[in-house]
Amino acid sequence: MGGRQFVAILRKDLIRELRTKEMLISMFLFVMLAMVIFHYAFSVKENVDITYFTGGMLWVTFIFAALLGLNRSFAQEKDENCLDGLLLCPVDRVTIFFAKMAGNLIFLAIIQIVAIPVFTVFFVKHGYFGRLPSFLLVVLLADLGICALGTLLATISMNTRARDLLLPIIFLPLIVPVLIAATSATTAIFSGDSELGPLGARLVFLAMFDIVFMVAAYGTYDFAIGE
Amino acid sequence: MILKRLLTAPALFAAAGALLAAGLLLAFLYAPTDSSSMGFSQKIFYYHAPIAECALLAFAIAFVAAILYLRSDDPRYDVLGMVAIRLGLLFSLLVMATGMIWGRAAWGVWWTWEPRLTTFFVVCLLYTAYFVLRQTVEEESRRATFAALFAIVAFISVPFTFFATRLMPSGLHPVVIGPGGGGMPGSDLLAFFVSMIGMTLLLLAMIRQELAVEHLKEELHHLKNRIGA
Amino acid sequence: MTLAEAVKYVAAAYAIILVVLVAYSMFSARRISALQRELQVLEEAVDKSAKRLGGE
Repeated sequence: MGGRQFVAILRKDLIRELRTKEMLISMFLFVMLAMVIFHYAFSVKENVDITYFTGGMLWVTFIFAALLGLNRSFAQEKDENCLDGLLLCPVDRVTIFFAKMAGNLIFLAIIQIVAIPVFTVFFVKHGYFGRLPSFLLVVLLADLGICALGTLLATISMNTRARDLLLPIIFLPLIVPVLIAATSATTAIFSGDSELGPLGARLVFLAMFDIVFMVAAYGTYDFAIGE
Repeated sequence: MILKRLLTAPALFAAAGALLAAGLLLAFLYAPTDSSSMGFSQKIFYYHAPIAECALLAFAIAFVAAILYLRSDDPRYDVLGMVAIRLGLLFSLLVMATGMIWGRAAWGVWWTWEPRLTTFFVVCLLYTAYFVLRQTVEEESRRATFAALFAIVAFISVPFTFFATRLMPSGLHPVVIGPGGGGMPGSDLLAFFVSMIGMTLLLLAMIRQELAVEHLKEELHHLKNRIGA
Repeated sequence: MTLAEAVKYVAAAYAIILVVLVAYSMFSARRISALQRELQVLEEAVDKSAKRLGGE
């Protein structure tokens, strides 16, 4: 029963966004523009090697893109009062959480599928095709953390006076661990520098973060969404 | 009821003061100097570390209060949580101030991105966001609920932040601020423990005092409402 | 860093701690007395008006 509802809510969100594509286009443009800005921010001198900055550049961009997406998806719900309608149905609150989180995850992934190759062409000098599986795992684990935490916090912030202004303030300090782990793992993969430490530790760290915060969201989402 | 509370707060303050003074004396007169390369500046540790642990204790108290609030809807837990976080934030700022002074004295730089300083910096930003969140919700019970949710999630993130900062190289000074040398010799330990207990009592005394302030504010508010109505 | 300089930094650190914590506690204590006084004044006013109404 929960499964069907999950799929139903997810489908609704996906279809709505795919019809207008407003959010996806904004996120996509933001990511592309960020890359241009990063180039000019770092390449002040000729032949500056920015390989060790690439992880940071990528994840800063993705985190802000995710914020854009999170704000947008919940603002729509609030404005169109979809959430009230949803709450009237006998749906398990937690199902709503996972459906929304899955939706946000899918949108973020769509952006990343396009952005990562572009980023690679722009900034990554060394090939990392051999390390691709590890890289995709890093992206997946980081995305899970971002979307789990982001969905919980966006639900809270949408119900306040400040709405989308509040989300970055409460989200960014909490996502710092993910940013640190993802950045260092990504830089290690892009640069192929084995001195940067074992990848395994970072993957385990990200996985634990994801599990802990998904459990926390599971336990508290009733309170976040309750009206 | 308030009278009873206030009677114990001064007692706690007195006890805290006595222990902290004792800890100070022990730190300077009893514990040996220069058990590490940091020399005399290591003395800052005897208050710096207790303050850090008290800050974390305050956030832990808020974490428990938040859970209790969500289960019981009792607004007193919300007040306790807010007071604890306010004091935790105050203590965290002190940790950063003393940490930076220590860093300057020991290594000549005002800032280093080493795990403890960085974690406390993020902690300060995090718990400041708690108060921003409170500001944006007008309805009391929803404010308390959201604040509780944030207090829970925030506290869980602190160990993650700390371990994450250890994953990344910390720049110029990978030396971790900690007790001098490898372990702590007995005389160091005594000064540390005395200060630690004293600082904890101080935290508890300040929490009691803040709770009394909030309680009085609440009573005043109710009285004014009654008169107004 | 010489011992004399180090002492200055250590003293500064402890001074900041003491000043901040003591000042904060004192402000709170002052807040408590002010609030108590205000509460007392208001309660007396309420009592007085209640008596007046009772008398009429």
